[in-house]
This record gives sequence, C-alpha cells and structure tokens, in this order.
Amino acid sequence: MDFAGLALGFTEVLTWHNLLFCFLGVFLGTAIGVLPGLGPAPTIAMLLPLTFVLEPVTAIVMLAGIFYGSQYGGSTTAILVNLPGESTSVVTALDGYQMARQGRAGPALAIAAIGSFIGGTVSTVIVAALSPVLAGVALAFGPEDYFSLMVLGLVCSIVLARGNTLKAVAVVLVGLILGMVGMDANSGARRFTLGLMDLSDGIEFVAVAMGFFAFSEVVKNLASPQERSVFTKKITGLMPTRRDMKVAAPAIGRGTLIGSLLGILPGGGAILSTWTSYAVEKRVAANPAEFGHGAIQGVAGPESANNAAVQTSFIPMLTLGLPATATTALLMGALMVHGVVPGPRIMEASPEVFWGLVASMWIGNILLLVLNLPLVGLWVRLLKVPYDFLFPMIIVICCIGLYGVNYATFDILVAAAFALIAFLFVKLDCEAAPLLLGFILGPMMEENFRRALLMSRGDMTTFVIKPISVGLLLVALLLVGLMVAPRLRRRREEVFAAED
Amino acid sequence: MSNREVMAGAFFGIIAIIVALGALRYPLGSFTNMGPGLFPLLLGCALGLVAVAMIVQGLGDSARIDVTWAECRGLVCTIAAVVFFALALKHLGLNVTVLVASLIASVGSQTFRLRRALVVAVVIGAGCHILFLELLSLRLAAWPPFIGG
Repeated sequence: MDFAGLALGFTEVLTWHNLLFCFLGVFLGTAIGVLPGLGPAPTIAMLLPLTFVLEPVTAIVMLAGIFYGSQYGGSTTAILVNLPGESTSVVTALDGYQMARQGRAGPALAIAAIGSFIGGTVSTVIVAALSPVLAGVALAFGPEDYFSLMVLGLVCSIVLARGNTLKAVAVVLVGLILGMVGMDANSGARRFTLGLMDLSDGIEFVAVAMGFFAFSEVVKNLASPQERSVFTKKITGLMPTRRDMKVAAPAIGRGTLIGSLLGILPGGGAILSTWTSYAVEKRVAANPAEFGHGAIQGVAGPESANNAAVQTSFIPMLTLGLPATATTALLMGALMVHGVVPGPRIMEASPEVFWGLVASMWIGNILLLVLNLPLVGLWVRLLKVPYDFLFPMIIVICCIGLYGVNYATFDILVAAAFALIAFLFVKLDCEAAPLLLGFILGPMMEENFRRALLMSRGDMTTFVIKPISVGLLLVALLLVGLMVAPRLRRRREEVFAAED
Repeated sequence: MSNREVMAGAFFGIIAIIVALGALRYPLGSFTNMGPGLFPLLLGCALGLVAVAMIVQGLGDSARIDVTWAECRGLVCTIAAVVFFALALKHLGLNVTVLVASLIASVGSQTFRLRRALVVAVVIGAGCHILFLELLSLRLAAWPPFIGG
C-alpha cells in the first residue's frame, strides 16, 4: 500500500476549487442520472464536454463526481419509478421499488447510499493497494502479452453481453474496425476516411458515445413512452430503523467483498456482482420469501457490490489500459482527451493524476452521501419533469457539448450517423456496449499485434509460446468454453431473461 | 424477407465486404512488417466469418424486424434536429440554432403540441444562451451575422 502516493493524491485534490467542481459533478451527475431513460453512460457522455475546459486534475475530480452521481442517480430512479437506467441497477429495482411502494422509499434510498459509500470506501483502499502491484506486473508485459490481454478483455465483454453471442462478437469487431479509421500511426496512410479530411484524426470518441448512448436513448424513449408512476407521496423517515441496519449491515459487508473481487475481472464484473450479491443474500436470509417484496438486504447488498465493483474495475482500466464496461470506457476516453494515457506507466508518468483520481473517487463517494440524502426531495421533483421537455434539451446540450470538444460541427454529423446505426443495432437486436470497448482498444490492439510480430519476425506462435500471453489466452479460451457449456448457458439466459 | 437474424448477418456481412475490399487498397506488407491494410483485412475477414455463421444459425429463427410509425417519427426528428444543428451553427449563431433544433426534435414526440414545443424551445434557448455563452463563454456567435450579433 502506497501511503505516500495516497497522500500526494489527497494534497492534489483537496483544494476548495477542486472540491467545488467535484460537488458540481456529483450534483449534475445525479440530476441528469435521475432522469428516467438516462443511465450512467448517456449521462457521462452528455456531461463529458463540460470537463474539457478545466485543467486535468480538476477535470478528473469532476469526472469522478459525475461518474458516482450518475450511478446513484440511476439507483434513485430504479427505486422510485422502477425504471432501471442500466443493467446494474436492475437488481436494485427488484426490492427497492417494492420498499418504495410500502412507503419505505426513504430507508431504501438511504441504505443504497450508505451501502454504496461503504462499498466505495473499502474498494478505494483495494485500488490504492493493488494498482501499484498490478502495474509492476504489467511492466513485464511484452506486446504479445498486451495483445492477448486485450483479447481476454474483449472475450469477457462478449461473455457478459446479453443476447446472441455471435452478434456480440460482430459488434466488437465493428468497434475494432471503427477504431482503424483515420491516419495510421506507422505508415501515415489515411484509412477509411472516405476522402474526408475531417476523419484523418480518426472518429471522435465522444461522437460515437453520444450517438450510441445519448441520441439512441432518446429515440428509444420516444418510441415507447413508458408509464411513469412516480411517488408523489412525500418521503418521510429517511433513516433506516435499527432493525433495518442490523439486517443490512452484513449484506453490505458481503456485497462489498463480492463486488471488490468481481470488479477486478476485465470485461465488466459489475453486472455479475449485483446478481451474485442478490443471490447470496437470498440464500443466507432468514426469510427468503421477503425477497421481491421489499427486503432491505436486496437493496443493500447489490448496491454495495455494484459500487465496489465499479471502483475496483478502475484497476485494470488504469494500470492495464483495459476498460471493463461502457462507462469505464467512457471515463478512459475522457482521461485520454485530457492527455492521461492509462497503462502501467501512468504511476510514473503522472502520479498526481493517478493518485488524484484514487483520492477523488473517495471524495466523490463522500459528497454523494452528503449531497444525495438531503436532496432526495429535489431528485423526486426532477423525476416528474415531462419527457417532452427533457428530450429536446438533451439533444441540444449534447450537440453543443460535442461541438465544444474540437470546435468542429463535423463531429455532430458523425454522432447523427451513429444514432442511425444505433437504431439499426436495436432493430437487429444487437447490444452496442461492446462496440465502445472495441473502438477504444482497436488501435492499441493493432499496434501491439504489429510489434509482437515484428519482434518474432512474423512468427504467429509467439502468442502461444510466451508464458504470460498463453496464460491469458487460455483463460479467454476457458471462458468461451464455459459459455458454450450448456449449464452456464442456461444460467446466463436466466439472468438476462430476469433482466427483461 | 424480414428474418431478423438473417438480416443481422447480412448487415455485418456487407460491412465485412466493404472493410475487406477497402483494406486491399492499402499496402498489406508481411506479418513481420505489417502494412496499414493487414489488420483491417484480418478484422474484415473475421467479421465476414461471423456474419456467415449468424446467417446459418438464424435461418430457422422466427424473430422478425418490425418498425413502428412512432419509432420512425422519433428517429427522423432526432436525427434531423442534430443534422440541422450541425449545419446551421456556424451560420445562424447559437440562439436561432438551438431554438429551431429544439422545435424539430419536439415534433418527434407522439404527444407533440405546437404551443408547448414553442415554450420549451424558448426556455431551452434562453438556458443555453446563459449557460454556454454567458457562463462558459463558448466561442460562438449568439445571433446570425445579418441580424448583427
């Protein structure tokens, strides 16, 4: 555990200026994340450009705030309206919404915040302790090991994607191909630019994210206006009772443990962790029949697990440059816009940014606890804003934000094109999340593939001779094998069916 | 021909062909010294194989593609608003662009009412003006040049 590093992080981050922006990030993140139909990914995509005017450390602190704010905003919507913004808060909605219907929305929201805070705090310590170790290991990685690592990451994202596996593979490949667009770093050839100068720097990452997450969400919501039954009742009694705490405390502990462990897996353990935690709670509960009818452990466990997993998923993202989920991919893209390149050298190259991020993750968690509980009334009011007012605003703000990234209206057109492609994806029943992962990893994968083959003089066996590389590939193969195995396949279908 | 799985395979298949043929226009090099075309070619071929597998797997599938009128309305208006925004921004200034784009977007809702949409557009326009021009001082003209902004 690197205490000096952690101390550096806190001295970097703890200025009034930074705290103010972190606060602003948490506030805006929650405010927008609460809006139905806007999960963390579109929220971050929408608010991302706001951070581009700031200096790196401040921007990252604000991003961390936005990140946690949007996560918690999603849980709030799940509890109060039974509209989970993303797959990880589906579990929260199961019992959280039932609690709300029984007039216990206050305790449900409070326990979600407390659980998230504890999960976040413990896993922040794990991030601080494990990242330097993993970065040290990663420094020994050769290009072939990196390539295999990315293969593993992509395989994980395919395994965890819902629906047809072949489609997930295809979507990842399309993402990798999109990442090829633009000037090739080695030869200077302009690839797939359609003769457009605007594309020679590649496709703007924010444009892809907005098209796929923000605009396509709007289109989806316009097509199926959902019945929203928000609790107009005043939320009374925010604090959980003593009995609540007694039941919820061990659930939070178990959830934190499960989340911290699963989050480290590349490819997105967050979804897995919420379901695992829910299943564990149901199994150990004194009265399993309560589940689905407002069991507080069913909120406390998965919420802690989710936040802990989200946090520890920063470990592979920061030290290996391997984002686990669409939201961490967004965050990584944002870091790269700010000139921070995640990877094993990040701790030497920009320790203030690395430790600053670790510290701000924790500060973001605290602010979340301080901000969200007193402001619950405000969030509930936000939930009642009619969609007819919201969606033109979402579209316009996204456009302005997108323009602000490069001062190029071309990027906005690109986002419009991706909104159309996203619609096709929905119609063809393809999930878009793995695309973003492929898009970010594409250029890195090509570069490492090229270097590995250069060193081995074109010998493909280098990937299966080097010990680290072959180990990673074997794990990937094992995952594929498990997925094809009938038992797990059924289980996976059950999990995703329960989500629908 | 509305078998969803087969259509998905065809969709990815077409992308694969375009990418693979496109990649051949760049030097391929060798595995020892990869040219800019090699990796995209490999990806295109892989995607092609996946697409074929998808078509084969989907032949007996019963899922269909159905597109509703409401969906198209939302899609067309959203994209029209975004494209209008991109094309108009440099010529009409922020305020007019935001106002019109927001109106176009509003038409996409099934519960569209002109008067309400106008109110919403004005509120959003004013909000954006304050937030982006006054507070964040984004480098953008507020009004079209012929009004004299």
